[in-house]
Amino acid sequence: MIQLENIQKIYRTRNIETIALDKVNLDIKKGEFVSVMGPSGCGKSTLLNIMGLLDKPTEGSISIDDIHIGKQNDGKLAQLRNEKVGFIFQRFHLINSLNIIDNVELPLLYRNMSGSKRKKLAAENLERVGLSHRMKHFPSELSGGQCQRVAIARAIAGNPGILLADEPTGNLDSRMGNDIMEILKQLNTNSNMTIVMVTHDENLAKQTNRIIRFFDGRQVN
Amino acid sequence: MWKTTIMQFFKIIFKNKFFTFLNLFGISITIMIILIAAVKIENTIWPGGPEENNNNILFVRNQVISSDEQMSMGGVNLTLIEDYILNMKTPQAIAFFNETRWSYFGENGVEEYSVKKVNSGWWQVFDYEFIEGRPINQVEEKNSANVVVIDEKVRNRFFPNEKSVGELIEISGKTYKIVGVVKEIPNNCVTTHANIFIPYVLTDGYYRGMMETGSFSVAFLSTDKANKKLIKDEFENIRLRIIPLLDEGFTLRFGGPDSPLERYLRGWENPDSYIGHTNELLIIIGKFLLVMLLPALNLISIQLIRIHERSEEIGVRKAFGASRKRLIRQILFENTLLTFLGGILGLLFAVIVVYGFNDFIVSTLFNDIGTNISISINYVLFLICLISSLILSFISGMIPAVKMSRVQPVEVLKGGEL
Repeated sequence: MIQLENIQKIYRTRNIETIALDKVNLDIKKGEFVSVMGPSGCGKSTLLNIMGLLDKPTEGSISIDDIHIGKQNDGKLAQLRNEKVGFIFQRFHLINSLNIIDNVELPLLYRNMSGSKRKKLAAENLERVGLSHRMKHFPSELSGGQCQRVAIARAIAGNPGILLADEPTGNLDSRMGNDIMEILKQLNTNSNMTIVMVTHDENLAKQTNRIIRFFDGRQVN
Repeated sequence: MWKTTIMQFFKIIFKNKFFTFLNLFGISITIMIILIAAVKIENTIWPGGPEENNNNILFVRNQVISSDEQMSMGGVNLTLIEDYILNMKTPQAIAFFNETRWSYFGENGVEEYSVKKVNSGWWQVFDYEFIEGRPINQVEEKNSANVVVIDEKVRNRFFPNEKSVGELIEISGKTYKIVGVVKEIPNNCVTTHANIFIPYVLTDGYYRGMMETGSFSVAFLSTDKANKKLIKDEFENIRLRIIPLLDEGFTLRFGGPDSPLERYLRGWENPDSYIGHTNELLIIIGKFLLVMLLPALNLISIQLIRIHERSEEIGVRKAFGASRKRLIRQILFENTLLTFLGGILGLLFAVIVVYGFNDFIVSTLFNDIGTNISISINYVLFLICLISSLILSFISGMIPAVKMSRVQPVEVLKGGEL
C-alpha cells in the first residue's frame, strides 16, 4: 500500500543542515495498522507528511497504492491526497468558522459530487463516530474527544484507503484516548483501512500490528 | 460547488465579524464619498436651472494679453465683444455678462443682492423661467432703457403679495422699471445666478482699449458638435485678426471657448492653456485612482494579516485535496464577493445620505439654503466605481491568495516537531 525507498529529508537553512529522515525504507501492506514511535524530533511527523504527500523527500521514492509519486504537479498531488489519504492531527485542526457537518464534508468538496450526496456521506460518517446529534454545532462547542471524533469522520468521509494519524490521542485524557483508539481499530478491522499512527504511548502502540521505531531520523528496529 | 463556496463564504464572514466590518467599511465608505463628491462636481459642471442645456453652450471666461516681459489677465474686453465677437455668424446666440453687488440698507441692516449686467442675447442663451413679465429686449438695450429683471427673492422682499412688473425699483441710486420676474436660481448655477439683471449698457467705465483686459464673460449658444467646431474656428480667427492690432511683441489668448466640462477643468487660474486639457483630466483620473488605491491597500493589508488567522484552514484544505489553483480561486472569489457587497452597501449609504439628508447635503455642498438644487446619484459613476473596486480587489486579493496558497500544510499543521 505504501512503499518508501531510501527516503531522505534534509532541512537546510543558511548555516545548518538538519537530517530529519535518513535513508528510510518501509513497506506498509494494505489493511495494516502500524504505529510509529520515537523521541521528539526523531522524524516521525516528517515521515507522516511525506507519506501523506504534504511534503516532498529530498531523495528517495514513494509509491502509494502502486502509484509512483514522482514529479506530479500540484493539482495531481492534491487529487491523490484527496482520494487516497485521510489525515488525523493531534490538534484536530477543525475549521472553527464552519459547523461540524461542513467540516466533515470538506474532503468531498474537492470531488465531483452533488451537494446532497456530500451531506449524506458526511452525516453517515458522523454517525459512525457517534456524533450525528451534533451536526449543526461548531467545534468550539465540543469537547476535545468529540473534536477528534469529528476529525476522524472528516478523514474517512472520502473513503480513503490510508489513514495517517499524527498523535491522535496526544491532546486527550486516557479515557478519551482509548475511545479514539477503539474507533481506529474498528476502522482497521471492519473497513480494512491501512492506518499509520504516530504515538508516544507504548500502550496504544502495542495494540497495533507493527511498531516502527525511529531515532535521529533513522529506523532503529 | 459554487453554491457551497458561497454558503461557506457567508458562514466565514459572519464568524469573522471584525474582519468583515473592516473590509465592508473601507469599500463602502470610499464609494459613498466618491458618489457624494460626484454630486458636487456634477452639479457644478451641469447645474441645471437656466443652465439646464449648457452642453450646447461654449464659454469664454477670460483673456490674457502678454509679451515676453508682461502679462495681464482679466475678463473679456468690451471693445472685443462689441466690435468683433457680436459680429460672429456661427453662434445661434451670444450672451455676455459681468457681475456686481447691490447693498441695500434696510431696516434690518445691510442686505446684499447679486447683480448681473447682461446683454439681450443673454435671455436666448440661458433658459430662465419667468413667473411674471418677460426678458429685456434688443430695443430696450439699444435705447438704454432703464429696465430690470428681478428674481422671486427681490420681488418678495420689495413687493410682497403683489405683482411687480411695471413697478419701479431703485438700485444703487438709479430707478429702473421692472419688466420681468424670474424664479429664484440655485446657488450652484454660478454663471446664471443673480437676484437682479440690468442691461450692461446702463453703466459705463468699462475698459475699452485693445491693450486692456475687461470684465466680461461670454457664452455662445450652439446647435450641435459641428456647430461648436465652427464657433471655435471663427473665434480663433478673431483672435488671429486681433493680435496684429496689439502693441508689438504682444499676443492674445482666451480661456475658451469651452464646454462646461472644459471650463471646469481649466479653472480660472489657468486661462493660458488653450491647447487641450489632458493634464487636468489625468490629474482627476489620478486622484480617482489614488482614492481607490486606499481601500485596495487596506484590503491587501487586512488580507495579509488574515493569512495567519486562516493559515490553519488553508493547511487543512490543502491536506484534504485542495490544489493551489483551487485555493487561489476560492480566496479571490471571496474577496471579490466581499467587495461587491461593500459596493452595494456604499451605494445604499450614498442614497440614504443624498436623498435622506437632501437639505443638509445641499446646504453643505453648495452653501445654499431653501433654493431648489435637485441632486441625484450618478449610477453610471457607481458602476464605474464598483467595477474599479472589483478589479482592484481582484488585484489586491491576488497577493494574499498566492501567498496563502503557498502555505505549507506541514508548517501549520505539525504538532511542533520534526
